Amino acid sequence: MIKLFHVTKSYLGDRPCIADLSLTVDKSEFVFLTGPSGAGKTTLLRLIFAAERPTSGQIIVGGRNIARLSASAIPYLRRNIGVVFQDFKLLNNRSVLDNVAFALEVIGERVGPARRRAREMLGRVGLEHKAESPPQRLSGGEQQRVAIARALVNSPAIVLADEPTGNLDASLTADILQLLFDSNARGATIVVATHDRGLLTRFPRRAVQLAHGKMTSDG
Amino acid sequence: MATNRQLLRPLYFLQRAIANLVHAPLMSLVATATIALSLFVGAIFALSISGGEALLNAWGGAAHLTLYLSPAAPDEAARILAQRAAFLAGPQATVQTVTHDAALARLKHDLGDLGRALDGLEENPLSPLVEVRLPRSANAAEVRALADQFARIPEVIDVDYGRAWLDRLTSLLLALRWTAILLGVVVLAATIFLVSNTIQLTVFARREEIEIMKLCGGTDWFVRTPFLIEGALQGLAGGLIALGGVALARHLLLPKMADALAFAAGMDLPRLLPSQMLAVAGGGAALGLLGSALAVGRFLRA
Repeated sequence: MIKLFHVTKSYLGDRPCIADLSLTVDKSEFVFLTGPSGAGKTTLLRLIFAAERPTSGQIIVGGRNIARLSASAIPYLRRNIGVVFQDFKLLNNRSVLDNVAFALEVIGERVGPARRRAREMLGRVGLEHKAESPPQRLSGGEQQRVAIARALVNSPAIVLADEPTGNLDASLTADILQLLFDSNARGATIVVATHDRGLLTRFPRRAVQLAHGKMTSDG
Repeated sequence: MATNRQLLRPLYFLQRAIANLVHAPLMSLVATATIALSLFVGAIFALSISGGEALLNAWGGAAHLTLYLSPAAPDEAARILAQRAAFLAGPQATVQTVTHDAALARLKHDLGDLGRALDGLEENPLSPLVEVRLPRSANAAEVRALADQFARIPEVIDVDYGRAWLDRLTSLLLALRWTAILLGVVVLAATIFLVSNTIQLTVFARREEIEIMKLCGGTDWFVRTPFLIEGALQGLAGGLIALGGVALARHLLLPKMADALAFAAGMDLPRLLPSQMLAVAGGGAALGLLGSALAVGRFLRA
């Protein structure tokens, strides 16, 4: 589902954030990307959803070579990728329901059906009763569940989560990961970037460790 | 395909554009006011120039040319000159001969009670003359050309048609027209710059929303379209406000100017034609659209 061949990403004058990295993530696989801050986890995720272009190397996502993808084709790639961030990135001037439905409206779904599907998705993450609330009235864990609902509402083949539990306590972390495991069980390929090594002990899955942009272990 | 479905949803984009305008009314007002002001200035300038041209043509059209002969010339010479003048001026012109006696009688009449003082004159010092009244369709240039032709006739010692006034007005209008074109280009560029920067602020204020749109797979057109509609709506509103301003100015200011200028020439106050009104409103929408397109384009490229 995701293949990286000798990928390097560097910015002018800096040492590479990603250095000659090769990696394969199979369909329906769940992978933790771990490593300390600055290891290149976020850059790697940004390369996968084409927010960045690699300096060299090839990235194949869902059969498409990102390095050769035109700018106008990127939105269509992203429709198959759900992205979750540590800071949630919710729109505070819209209700929880509108935040989730917005992801469908953006790709051409009509408002009515989009809101219906968004409400169902909020039910799956246990937040249907907060549908009309503004996001800032929700707790951190609830806001992250809304962000996950938004990422999953389009049933993407791939879900990328960048430190999704970074701001949450252990109990909420388990809730959030459970949502991602559920999505994985439905067939989605999940890549979760985290600097929290404790997660790997509590939820043993394949873990790819990065340091200074290079893979130091995979297993 | 999703993109086609989006393009077929004008109502959805219109609703989003209106919602965005309502959410950021201050920025919308700034953009609208900028467009309104520039269009108002442009329309008033254009009206003034077209009014001036109409005045010039009206004056030229109603022009009287007076051909003076030598005071020693006999009345018969004036009659012969009148026939020649009628030939040169064309069938629509009215030509009248004013003999020595008629000229004196006219002067007496014009002087009123003072005219009695002329009774003591031993001989008539006035020249016979020929008056040529041109049709209203004659413009200033035609009047000038005809006057030049008359001046070349040997018996004619002077031609009076208000040359200095007409020439000055023509030069003034020419200068005004070039100034208007130059000013129009500057105002247009400044308006697009200001509107584009104002809209860029609203784009920047919604950068998170745009980021999420793009993250969720929204195309550039999906991002761009509501901003373009917003720009066009702001521009249209600006155009309508400018038209309102022009109508108000016409009611309040122009009658005073007309007293001094146009009324004397018997012409109507200048007014915007429906097609010109449409051009002002459409121009406003186009300005808003262009400003918006530049602002969003810059943001998306960045």
